[in-house]
Amino acid sequence: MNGFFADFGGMAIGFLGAGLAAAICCAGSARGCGIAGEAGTGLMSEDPSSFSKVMIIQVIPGTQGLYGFVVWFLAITFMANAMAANGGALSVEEGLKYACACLPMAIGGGISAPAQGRVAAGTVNLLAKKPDDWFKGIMLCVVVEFYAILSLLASFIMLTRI
Amino acid sequence: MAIVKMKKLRLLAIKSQRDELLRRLQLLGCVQVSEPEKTEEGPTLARERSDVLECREEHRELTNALALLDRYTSAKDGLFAPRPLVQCSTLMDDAGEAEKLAFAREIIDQDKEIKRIQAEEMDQRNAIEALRPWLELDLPLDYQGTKNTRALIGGVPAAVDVGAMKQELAAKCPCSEIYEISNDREQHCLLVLLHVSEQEALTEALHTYWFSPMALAGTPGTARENTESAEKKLADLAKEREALTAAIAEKAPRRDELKLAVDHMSARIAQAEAAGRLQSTESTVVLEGWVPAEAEAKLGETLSAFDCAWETAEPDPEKPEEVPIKLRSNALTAPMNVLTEMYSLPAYNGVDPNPLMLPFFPLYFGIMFADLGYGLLLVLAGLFMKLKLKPRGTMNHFAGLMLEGGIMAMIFGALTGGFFGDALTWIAGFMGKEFSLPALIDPMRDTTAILIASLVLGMIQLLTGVVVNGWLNLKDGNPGDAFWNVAPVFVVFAGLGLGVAGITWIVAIVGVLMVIYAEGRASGSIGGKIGSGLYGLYNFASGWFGDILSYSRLMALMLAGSVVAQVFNSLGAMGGPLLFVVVFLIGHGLNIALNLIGCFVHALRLQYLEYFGKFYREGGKAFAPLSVNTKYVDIKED
Repeated sequence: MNGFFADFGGMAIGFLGAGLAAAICCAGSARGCGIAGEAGTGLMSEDPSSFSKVMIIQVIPGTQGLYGFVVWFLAITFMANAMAANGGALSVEEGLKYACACLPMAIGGGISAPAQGRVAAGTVNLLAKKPDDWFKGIMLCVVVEFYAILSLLASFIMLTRI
Repeated sequence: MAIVKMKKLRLLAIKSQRDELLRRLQLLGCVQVSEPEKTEEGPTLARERSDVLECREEHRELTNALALLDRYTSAKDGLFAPRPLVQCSTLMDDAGEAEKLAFAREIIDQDKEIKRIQAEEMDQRNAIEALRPWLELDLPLDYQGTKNTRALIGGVPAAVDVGAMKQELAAKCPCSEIYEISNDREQHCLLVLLHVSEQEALTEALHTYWFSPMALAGTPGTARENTESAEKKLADLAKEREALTAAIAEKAPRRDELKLAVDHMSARIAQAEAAGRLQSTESTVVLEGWVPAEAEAKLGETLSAFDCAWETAEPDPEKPEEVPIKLRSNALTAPMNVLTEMYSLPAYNGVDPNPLMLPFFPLYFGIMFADLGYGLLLVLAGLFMKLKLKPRGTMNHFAGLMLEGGIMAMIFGALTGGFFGDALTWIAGFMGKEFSLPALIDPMRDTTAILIASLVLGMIQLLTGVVVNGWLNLKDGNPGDAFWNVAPVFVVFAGLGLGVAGITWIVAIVGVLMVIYAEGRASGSIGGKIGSGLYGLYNFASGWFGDILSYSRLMALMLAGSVVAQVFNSLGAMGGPLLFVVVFLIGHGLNIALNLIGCFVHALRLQYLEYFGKFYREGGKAFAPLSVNTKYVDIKED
């Protein structure tokens, strides 16, 4: 059992971390886009011509999923490179490092996406009542985005420094 | 480059010349007519009446007619068609106004008629639909029965078993007969013939089956006859409707006239609104307003043609908030108007922030957007807007902002060797070659250096803000404030520099003491001075620490943009050249859209929060002179 863990544990832990980054971020983005989309359908039932703007607003909380995917992709690429250099195995220590590096994105993205979704839903209200000011609502959404970007950078810098 | 100096204008004119005077002022476009001050209203001066409501109503009618014409003819201007050029005198000419209004009303009436016809068509279609199940019934719908029989036409719900119903009724009322005409998903359509003696019993029995009479029962003629006549009516109505639609469509060639009339009416509304702000006696009107000092001579020239008396005065320095603000910009600083207007115009005793933002905003945007390809696209989009669409006002400024930001992004893209991320490297790879753009700075490796550079840039901007604030204090006549607001900051930072370099910490300590004195000098007692001085020192330290660190976002967004771009490239490259093209288009499209908004907002935030916080005095209202504002045409001077 010990030998098995030593041989494959690193890879499993690393994949777990990478997978979490993608999965939690994507789940968060799905919730965020869902919240924004729900608000959008309400507006579109009154004013179908607002579709293009509603769609722009709806996809804003989708970026966290993308960032999670980016981190996942980088992590598995780096792990594959490390395994190739190591004769096909990843040490437990290294696997833990990759998993930890993925965590900022997983947590930051997973929590910021629904938060951004609520701002986006508010922006839909703004679009309904003050159509000229809808872009200001988008700017408010982007304020939340910044913390997802920081999470992405934190994960990215750790991944490149392992 | 500055806030334009304004002068307060008071003008007394003959009432009979009112409209001509306002017309000339509108053409001049440099006088803002303000609401009269309340105190001046008395028994002699009354508020002037104007026909602004009528003008607005007529404007609405013309706009509606134009929209209708667009709808019925579907003749749209190309999105990028330039506006027609019109002589100013043609636009201002009142002749033909009544004719165009009548023309507009004709369109509106014809549209109303079309709507009425459409409603009637709907009624006829509904009737045909309702008659459809009864087509097989060859009795007139108002058939009542013979002397001893009665006829009922109606339906029962689809769930009723008609066979069982017939059996039951046959048992109860042997002299009655039920015929099923048709049935569909909703109902069975029935004709019930009964003998008068059984009427009561049968009605009761039918009731238990939810029998309800047909809606159109009582209409003369059979269902088929009714349907045929409805269809004929429908055809007539359609013909009538088409004739009306064609009649509206025929008017399409006069669309441009209508557009001109809309713009003409907008100008009339502006005039009427100005007239409504005048005060009047029996034979004179009084105009109060603002005129830029530089336009005074031009105004005098225009006014010399009228019998009027006028004077201008310097604005009251105690009330800077009442002076309207006009910013004079050159080609480079004008785009910054977008940012200034979005925040709040400066107060009259403040400073025009446009030239102060010019070096920083495009620079920060460029640092964060940093990509040769992305910047190039932005520059092309900006050029396209400027040259093809020829937008006015805010959109024109926005196009300028795209150009300035795009050029800076290209410069930093060249410095960091980014062209759609590392796309060129991959494309060269497909052709079996090794290539990468030369880069002075590599965002992935020189992250720390970029971070430090960002913070240094931030410090430069913040210190600029401090100096501007000191200059404003001097202008207000407060040299003491100017010194104590500016000097301690510089002494502290110089002292920190010397201290870190290992030379001496004394300057820094002097600086800290200066901060404590500067922050506490407004308090009365010694204890108050020390208390508020120390509190001020804490605020000073935490404020500057936070403000400077905030500029780290320059590094963060630069790095994030290029990381995402590179990941898309390597994702696409996994599947060969074809997939690369697809992923390239989608991925970079997404990344550009996101970064565009992100970099704009964060460059903006650094101006609003960190920079403006150091010096900006906001709260001015925009100078809104009586002038000709057009939507559909461009004006050519006579």
